[in-house]
Amino acid sequence: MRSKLVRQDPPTTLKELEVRAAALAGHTVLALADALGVEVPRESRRAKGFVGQLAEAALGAAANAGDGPDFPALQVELKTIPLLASGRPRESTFCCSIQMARSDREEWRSSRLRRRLQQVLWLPVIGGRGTAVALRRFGRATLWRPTPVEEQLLCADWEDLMGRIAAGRVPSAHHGVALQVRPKAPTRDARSLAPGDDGPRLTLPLGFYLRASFTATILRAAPTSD
Amino acid sequence: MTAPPPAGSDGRPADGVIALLDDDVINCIAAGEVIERPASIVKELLENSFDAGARLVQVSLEHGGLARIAVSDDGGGMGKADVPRALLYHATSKLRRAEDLFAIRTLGFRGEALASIAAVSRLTLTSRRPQDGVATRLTAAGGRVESVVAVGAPVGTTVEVADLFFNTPARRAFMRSVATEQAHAVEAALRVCLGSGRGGVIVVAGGRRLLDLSERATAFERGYAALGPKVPALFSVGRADHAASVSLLAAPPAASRADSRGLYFFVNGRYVRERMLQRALLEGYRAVLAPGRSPFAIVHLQLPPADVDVNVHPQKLEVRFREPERIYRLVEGAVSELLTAAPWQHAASSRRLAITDRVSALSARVALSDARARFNRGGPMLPAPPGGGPRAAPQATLRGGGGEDGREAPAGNQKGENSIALGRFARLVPLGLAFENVIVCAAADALVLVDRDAALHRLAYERLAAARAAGEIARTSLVLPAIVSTSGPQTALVAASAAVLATVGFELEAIGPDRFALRAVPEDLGGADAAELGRELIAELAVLQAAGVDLLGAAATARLLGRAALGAVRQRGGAWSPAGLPALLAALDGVDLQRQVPHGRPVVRILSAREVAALFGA
Repeated sequence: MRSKLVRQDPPTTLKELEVRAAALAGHTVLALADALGVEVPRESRRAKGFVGQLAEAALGAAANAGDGPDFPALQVELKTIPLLASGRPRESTFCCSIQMARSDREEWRSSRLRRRLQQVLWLPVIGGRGTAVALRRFGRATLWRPTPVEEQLLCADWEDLMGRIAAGRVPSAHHGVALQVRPKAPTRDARSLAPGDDGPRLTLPLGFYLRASFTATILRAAPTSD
Repeated sequence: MTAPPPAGSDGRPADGVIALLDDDVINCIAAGEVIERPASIVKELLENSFDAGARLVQVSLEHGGLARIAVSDDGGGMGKADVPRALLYHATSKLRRAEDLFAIRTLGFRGEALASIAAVSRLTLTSRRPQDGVATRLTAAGGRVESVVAVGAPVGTTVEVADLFFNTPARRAFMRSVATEQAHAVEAALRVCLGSGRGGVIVVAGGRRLLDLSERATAFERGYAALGPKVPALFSVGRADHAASVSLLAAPPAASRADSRGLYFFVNGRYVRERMLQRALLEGYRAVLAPGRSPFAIVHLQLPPADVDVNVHPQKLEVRFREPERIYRLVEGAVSELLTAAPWQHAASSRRLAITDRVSALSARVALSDARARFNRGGPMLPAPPGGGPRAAPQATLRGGGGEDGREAPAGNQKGENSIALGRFARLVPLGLAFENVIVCAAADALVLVDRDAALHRLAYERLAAARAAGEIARTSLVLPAIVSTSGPQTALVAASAAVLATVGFELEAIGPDRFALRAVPEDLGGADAAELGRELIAELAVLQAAGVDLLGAAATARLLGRAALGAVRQRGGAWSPAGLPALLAALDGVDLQRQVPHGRPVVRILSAREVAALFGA
């Protein structure tokens, strides 16, 4: 079995992406890994990223999307979301890292987070931590665009949280209704420049996460039929 | 270096180049020193409110305060005569003489805040004293009063500031994002409220309460609001000398930061950024904090107004102490006292039981995690594929006679030698695979050559046809739908033939111009290259259409099934499994090989013993 993921061609229409995502519903991670010719890692530590990469490869997401969405031609971001057997999201969902150095100049309208959340394909992965990664199953995907109310909520959260960061008051994980800010760094020692009263200062890099309660409402509101 | 003065017509510096600035420019310059951003306005107006005895102040922000700031208080208010005066520079109720500067007990005193705010915005001030029946409302733009009218309003003062820096676009260009300005404004409100120690403040933006401190909030509640939920606990200590006193509210030293964001200093209720105070505090913590770390602490210093000069910074963020060494020792001493008492140790022992419980829970989680790891290491996550070694089959004869059950086998092929009696394939002995595709088998009286690909195709065809005849061909959804591109007339043909393809177990869906997704295939063909299968079916449809065949008729169905069955050949053709041969041969026993099927070819060839002997001249 190959160990390198072979990506499908990128989808050319939203319909194509939806059809591909719908095809994953009900299949196990193992089945998809088999179809893509890779092995499922045994270590659960690597599994989380693996399932996301697997889904990206299957759906034809861009290999190096960088700051752009996973499907640049369609302006769609892909988010795999682990669900408990009850259907509740198991954890918060990482959205994007925060450009700390620009935190005092960034506006919501042009923010990285807003771009990332303009159009998201949510792909549930069902199975708690007690379920072997290979046996977790993909659920029905949902293409989501924020409603005006959701956008307002995200905007208010973003402004509150970004403002705190820009003012040098790093918010705790308790701040925010829909959003949450948590450290997000490749290593424990990573630091990035952020504004401070006395000029730029080094601080722990942070990332935006969507709270599980918010993603739960998105999935609940999803249409129940294709 | 300064720019050279304008030259006269003779090239020499001209005279009279120094001019007095007009009032508007002077006011803008003055305002620039006080009003740096929306947060400055929030700070100044809140200080005014608390100086006026307000118990609760509500601050409303729009667009980070750049579009609108409204500050409403329940303080003493102003009378009709005082309202217009409040907008004049150096008009104040808090100071009369120069010596009063060293007896200041209010937060403001210069009488320039409102004037500065009004100079760079559109301002509306509404105020009413308890003894007045009506309120007075003043509107101004760019510092010029536009109207003063009597209106109905509750006791207290409301100041609305709109279009900040509308007349100083250069300053406006230096504003940060809405979020940043909003956060600074909230922080400013928090600082004033912390310093006041008694008033309450509510800050609202975008329909959300960003700060909500009741006038009844204790020092601890205010402390938690400032220092954030990361602070596990706060402890207080006070210290005084003959004239000054310090109160310190701090978290245990185990909670610390890499910057000084957890430090607040107040002198007589005024927030200050005073490095001497910071040094004194850190010196006290030096023994318990790693270098570069700062504690979470709020320091309130109270001293006679004459001992501190608060008039040394435009925004009053810095002060000068008459006896800085004394203040230094006072602050450092308060820290030492707190660290010596270490009240958090007592608090910690009372929480020990709870912590023990958490450790137990953690141990349980670790054990569970180990068990999972063992489970994952323990073996394959999937059941082993069913299998077994090649089974020995009793040798067959081609023409029957001597079957295991003792019955006579059917006569078999009546037309020639290239047929084999039903029920006899299972008894052939496979000897091997020749030319990568020909299964060479031995019977008692012949050598039998089976075209493996043809056999696979035929078996797949038979299964598909049987399922079709029984009602519906079982499908399997492809985890990766195959994307098939079409062109021109093909697109229309495929779009119109989805129902036809569905009858033979294929589910095709249009996903864009000239693109289809093959979402499901017959279960039997789940391992085939679905994209190739899709393309071949479309080619078959085109051939049938060109030949004028009814696509829903039996002939078309047979041809489509025959084409589809080719997928079974490619699906399995690459895999050579000696173990699978007996099963493959046995499966052929159920097939009438005399009958031809679309896209099929002969499955079996027989060399009789006589023919083989003839090859050797026997």
